[in-house]
Amino acid sequence: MIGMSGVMFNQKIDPNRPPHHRWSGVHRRGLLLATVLAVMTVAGFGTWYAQSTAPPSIAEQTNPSVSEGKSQQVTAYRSASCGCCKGWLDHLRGEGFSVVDHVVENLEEIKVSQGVPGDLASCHTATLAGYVIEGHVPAEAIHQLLRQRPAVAGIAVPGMPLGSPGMESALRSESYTVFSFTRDGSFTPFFHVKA
Amino acid sequence: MAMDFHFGRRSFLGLAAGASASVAGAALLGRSAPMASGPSRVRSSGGRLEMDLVAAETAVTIANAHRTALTYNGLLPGPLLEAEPGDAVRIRLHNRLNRPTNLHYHGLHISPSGNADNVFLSVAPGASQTYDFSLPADHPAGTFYYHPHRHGSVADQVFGGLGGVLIVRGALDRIPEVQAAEEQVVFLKDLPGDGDFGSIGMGMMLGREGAVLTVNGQVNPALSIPAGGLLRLRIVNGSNARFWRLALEDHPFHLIATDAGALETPVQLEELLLAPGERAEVLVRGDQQGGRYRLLNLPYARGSGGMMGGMGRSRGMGRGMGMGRGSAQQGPVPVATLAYEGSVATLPLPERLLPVVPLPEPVRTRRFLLNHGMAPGMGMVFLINGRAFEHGRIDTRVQLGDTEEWELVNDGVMDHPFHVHVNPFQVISRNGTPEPYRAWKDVVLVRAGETVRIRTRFDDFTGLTVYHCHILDHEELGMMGTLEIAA
Ligand SMILES: [Cu+2]
Ligand SMILES: [Cu+2]
Repeated sequence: MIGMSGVMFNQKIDPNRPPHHRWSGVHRRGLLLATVLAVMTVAGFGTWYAQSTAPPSIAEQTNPSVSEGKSQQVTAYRSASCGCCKGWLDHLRGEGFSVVDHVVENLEEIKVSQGVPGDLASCHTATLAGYVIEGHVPAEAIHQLLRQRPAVAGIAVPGMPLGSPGMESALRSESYTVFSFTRDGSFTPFFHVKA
Repeated sequence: MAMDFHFGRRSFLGLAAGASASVAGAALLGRSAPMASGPSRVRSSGGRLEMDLVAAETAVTIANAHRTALTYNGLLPGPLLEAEPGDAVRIRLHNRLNRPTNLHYHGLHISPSGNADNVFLSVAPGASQTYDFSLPADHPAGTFYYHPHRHGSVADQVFGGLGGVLIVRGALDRIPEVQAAEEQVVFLKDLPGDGDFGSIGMGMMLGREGAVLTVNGQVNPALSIPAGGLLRLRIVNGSNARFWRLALEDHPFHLIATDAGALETPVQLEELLLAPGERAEVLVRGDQQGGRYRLLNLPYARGSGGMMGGMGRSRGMGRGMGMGRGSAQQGPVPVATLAYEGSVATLPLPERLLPVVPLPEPVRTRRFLLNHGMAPGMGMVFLINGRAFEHGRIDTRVQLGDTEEWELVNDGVMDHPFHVHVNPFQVISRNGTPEPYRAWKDVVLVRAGETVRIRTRFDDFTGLTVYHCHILDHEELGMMGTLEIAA
C-alpha cells in the first residue's frame, strides 16, 4: 500500500499518566469538522477520481468472509462515496476484521450518539466490541485496544493525517496520535504513529 | 559550492557592504531585542544592496519561552531589506539547514531565470548560492516578501519560521501624506506550538497552522501612533496556511496598497483578510483620545465555503470550524496592541495615490481548476487541471508581451490562495461580480466553490517559473504548475 512502508507504530504513551486537562471537554464545534471532512472527501474524490456511484440513501454491505474464526466485526458509518473511508475499511479487511459498511446521511448525529468528542471528529465512525472507533485508526491501535481493554468509550484519529490507513499519499506522511476518549468527552493520547 | 563563510557579529556587519546596516531597524519591526548578531535592517546605498543570509535552526525567545526556529541570520522574521527601483541586489544565501533550500523574491518583477528569482535552484545543506539581479527602473514601490521555495521542503521551512520582508521605496513613498506617516512593518507568522503530542486535526490536508501567533516574531507586541498622526502598516502574511483576518479596535484601515503596489485612492476597511503570501499597506488615523487598542485576529473558516449549505451551518456552529486543537480559533485573538504616544498636528489622509492602469483586452483566456483527490498510484494529491506538480513538465506556455485572462475555478471544499510569480495581475471579477476597484495583486484568494478571473501581462522577462497555491502544504502536495514565458 502506498505510503505505508516505513510507517512505524511505536507505542510510547504512559498509561498511568492522567488525562491532560487541555484535552478534555466536549466541543461541538469540532463536529463541523467532521461534516467538512465528509464533504471534502465527497467533492475531492468524486470530482476527479470518481470510483463508484454510491447509492443515494442507506446502503448496507456485509463482508463476513474472514478466516480462522478470530474475526472481529466492525460496524462502520460513512457518507456516500467517501473514498478514504473505503480505503480505511479495506485496511481493516486486510487485517482480518469483518466489516459492515453503512452509508448514511446523518453522520453527525451518529457521532453525537456515539459520544465522539467534537475535537476528535473525522470522516467516519465505527463500532467494534463495544468500543467506538473514529477516523483513520490503524489496525495496530485497534489490536492494542482489544488486548488491553481499557475503560474508555473508544479511540480516535482526528482529522485526516496523510499516511494513515485510507489516507495514503506517495508525497508525504505525517506523525499522528490515536486518542482514547471517555463518555464524559475527555480524551488522552493512546498510541502514536511516526511519519 | 564549498562553505567557507564564517558567521559572526564582526564579519557579518562587515559583509553588509554596499548597504547601510542598521540595528535601529528593530524599531521599525517593533522587536524588543534582536535575537542574533547582525543587522535587522539592511538598506541599499549607492544603488546596491549586498548582504549574506544564513538559513539555520537557531534559539529564539518568544513570549519569554525559549525554543528553536528556522531563521535568517538568527532573526525571526529575517532582516528587513530595503531597496529602490533600479538597485542591483546581491544576496548570498548560506544553507545551514539539514535540508535543501533556496530563495523566492515574492512579488518582485524580476527575471525568473539564472541567479535571479529562480525557484528551480536548489541549495544543498552546507552549500551557498549567490543571487544577483537588478530591480527594473520602473519597479513599483511596495511591500514584498522573501521566503524559501524549494519544492519538497518549502512548507516545512516556512512553517518552521523562515521568511522576511523586502521593501521597495518609490513613488508611493513620496506622496506627502504617505511620507508623513509613521511606518511599521507587521509580519504575521504562526509558529508550531511545542505541545508534547503534536497537533490534533487536519495537518497538511487543510494546511498546518501554528498555535503561537506572532507579529514581528513577538506575541502581542506594542505598536504606537501619535495622536493626530498617521500610522502606515506594511502587513505581510508569512504563514504556511493560516489566514489572518485583522481588525483594529475603533480604528478603520485605509488601504493604500495591495500585494504589488499602490491603489488609486485609499479604500476604507473595517477588517482586512490576508491569505498566505498576501500583503497590504494600510493607514491608520490617530483620531482617538489616547488609550490602548487591540489589533485582533478574527476567526476564519477556510475549509467549508459554500459546501456547508444545508449541512450544518444552520445549526449555529458557524465559522468556528475545529481545524485542529492547536489552532482552532473560536473568537478574536489580540495579536498586537496599539498605544498613543506623543502627538502631531492632525495629518490628512491622501486623496489620490497612483494610477492603476487597466490592462488591455486579453488575447487568450485560460482556465485553471483547483481541487484535490486520490490519484491512481499517488494517493492523496492536490491538483491544478487534474495534474499534480511534476518537475520538468511545462503546464502553461505563454508569449512575452501577451495579456491573458485566467479563470481560476475552485470546485473543491477548501479555499486556495493562487499565486503567480514574476508578473502581477489585476482581479477582474469574483463569481461574475466585477471587482470594486483596480489593484495590483500577486496572490488572490479563490474560495471553495468560487470562480475568480484575473488579467495579467507577461512583461520584460522570459523563462520558466511557477504558479501555485500559497497554502504551502497544498503546493507541496502538488498544487503547482510550471509556466513558460517564451520570447
Ligand atoms: Cu510566496
Ligand atoms: Cu490550497
